[in-house]
Amino acid sequence: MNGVRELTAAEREALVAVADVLCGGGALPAPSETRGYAEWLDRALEARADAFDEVVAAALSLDGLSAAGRREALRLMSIDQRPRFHALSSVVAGAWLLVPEIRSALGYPGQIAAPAAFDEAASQLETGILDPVIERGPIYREA
Amino acid sequence: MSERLQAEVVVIGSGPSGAVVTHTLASAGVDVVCLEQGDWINPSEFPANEPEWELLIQQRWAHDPNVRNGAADYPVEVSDSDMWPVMLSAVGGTSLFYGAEWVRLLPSDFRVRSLDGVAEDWPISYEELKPFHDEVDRFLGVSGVGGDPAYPEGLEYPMPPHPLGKVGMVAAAGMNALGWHWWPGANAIAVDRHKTLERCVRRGTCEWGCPAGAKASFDLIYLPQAIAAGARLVTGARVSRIESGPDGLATGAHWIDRDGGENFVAAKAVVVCANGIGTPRLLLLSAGGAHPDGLANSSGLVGRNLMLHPNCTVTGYYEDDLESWKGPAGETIHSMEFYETRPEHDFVRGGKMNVLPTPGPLAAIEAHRDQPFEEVWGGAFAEVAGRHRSGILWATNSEDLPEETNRVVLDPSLTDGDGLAAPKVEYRIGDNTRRILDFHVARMTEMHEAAGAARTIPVGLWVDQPGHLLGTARMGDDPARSVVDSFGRAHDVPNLFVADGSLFVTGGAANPTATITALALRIARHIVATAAELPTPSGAAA
Repeated sequence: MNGVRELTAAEREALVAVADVLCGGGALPAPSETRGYAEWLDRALEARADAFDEVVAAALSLDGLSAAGRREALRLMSIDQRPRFHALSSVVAGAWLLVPEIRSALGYPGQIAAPAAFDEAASQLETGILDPVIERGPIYREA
Repeated sequence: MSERLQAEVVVIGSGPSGAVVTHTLASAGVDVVCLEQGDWINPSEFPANEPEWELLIQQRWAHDPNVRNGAADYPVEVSDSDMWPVMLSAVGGTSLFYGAEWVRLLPSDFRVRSLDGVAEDWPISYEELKPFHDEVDRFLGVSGVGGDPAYPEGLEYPMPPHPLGKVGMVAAAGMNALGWHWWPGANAIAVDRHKTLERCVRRGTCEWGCPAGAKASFDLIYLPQAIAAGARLVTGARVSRIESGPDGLATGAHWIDRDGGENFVAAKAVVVCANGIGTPRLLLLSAGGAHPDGLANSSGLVGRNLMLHPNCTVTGYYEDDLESWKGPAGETIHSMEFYETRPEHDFVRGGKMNVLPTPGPLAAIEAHRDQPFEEVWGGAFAEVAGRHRSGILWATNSEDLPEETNRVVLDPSLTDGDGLAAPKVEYRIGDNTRRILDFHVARMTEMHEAAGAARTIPVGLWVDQPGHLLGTARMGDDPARSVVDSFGRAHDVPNLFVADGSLFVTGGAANPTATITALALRIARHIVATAAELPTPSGAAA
């Protein structure tokens, strides 16, 4: 990694525990059960190197809480400490959204090149969708 | 190491207006130097090249210079402002981050005093500006569909439109159900290879830099042609002061390089293209003997009448997969239905609405952040993130009438990395603008409902959008009521020109870059045509 130090085991554990609360509980595997999450968490932290210390400290502050307690603490943080929660949730949840398995399950291909077919624009306009606007005629205000 | 250059004209800023001016002058054989405080940014550097782009745009590539805090950025003091102006210091300026929505002002925008009894008329008309619009459009290869009934006859585009996509088709069907105006988007994004632009491949991250090099940011088009025509571009050059002599004429510009070296370019004329925040800042920084209150500021209007086009949005999420990650973004469609004053409204003027896609699952989460915790996080999270495929964003640019109390001043304590006073923005959203925003949130919600949205999320004000920085050195015929004339020439300093969004007399509601560049072309042509009449500064610079 560039720019940020390696996480300690305790820090990583705390961040994953937060991620499980924020992203787990649905139909998809929770971050702790998602293969590769740790590597993507490192990459997410690097992308938000500016917030590294804040994010790690926020996660550690919830250490020792039960899952329910951690969830309630995060809920309160989302209200009372919005910038802190924003940074923490962006990194740990954003990391989960980077995992290819999760992206695939969510139908997200990434911002890939998807060039339009040469007749795509014309075909859409040829459906007549613009006709009502044209039939209404000019609407501009004389000046 | 200090450098001393000589040129016929020095242009300050290489954003859209600076690029057009520099190109136009160089192409006419004028010896021109363009000073840019930022650097070249290669499209391969943009965040969308990385999977974690949604995290990178939160800080490293943020629109807000106060968040990004890059080497070329200067801070903007905003503690007394309802909005946070955004900009990018780079070759090509903030156009690297714009959506390239290429929309012209309407004829009425130039005559709001005559038509609506508010603000002031512009000293020029839509008809006078139209040939310059048309020329810039051809150069850029603007894409769109001619014949928009919101405009007078004669508005055509040199390139065909981008597809509406599923997003645009659904939004348009909703507008048809309501019987309201819409039109396919006009964008300065190449549908096919054009000059130095590549073909759009719909990467969808236009507002954080086009990784394909298809969007007409002005580092990719106009500036390359300007350099080929002989213009000299100096990067990493933060202009600290426009020098003026004892006769009050501008003699050139001082700049500080990245090593802290102080440099000077002497010129017969100076053209300021530093945007609606940077231009008044520089004019105020350039106070001196003949200009004790700031250069070109005998009217006291330098920095005043700042207009920021407050934006409101309503994001709709639909049951169907709309491929909402797909670009361009860029406007998919726009609507001028409520652009004009109507007797039934409780406000004058109006707004321009447009549709954008909603790329990225983290963006879907961001859109839901103000929803109850349990509806976004935990078991709901994946479902909410998955809505990224089914979103449509309706956004409104509101007309933001000029008020002298909305202004840019020099902050008494905050400075940039070179020790220069930072700009302070004092800006409050007026009552008329508030009513426009409220009205449009309600209409955009109706538009989503008519199109079949399953849920909508309104945002009454985007505090950090858009980067429309207007009105702070406005043009006019009366030197007591304006800073420059209709050709951008300062009333007080006949060899000093302003050619950016600072010129706007009123903001209109259309995205301003098309108008900024048309004005810049008109001003540059005027400089060329009247070069022989330029007064010669008598004072040598320090």
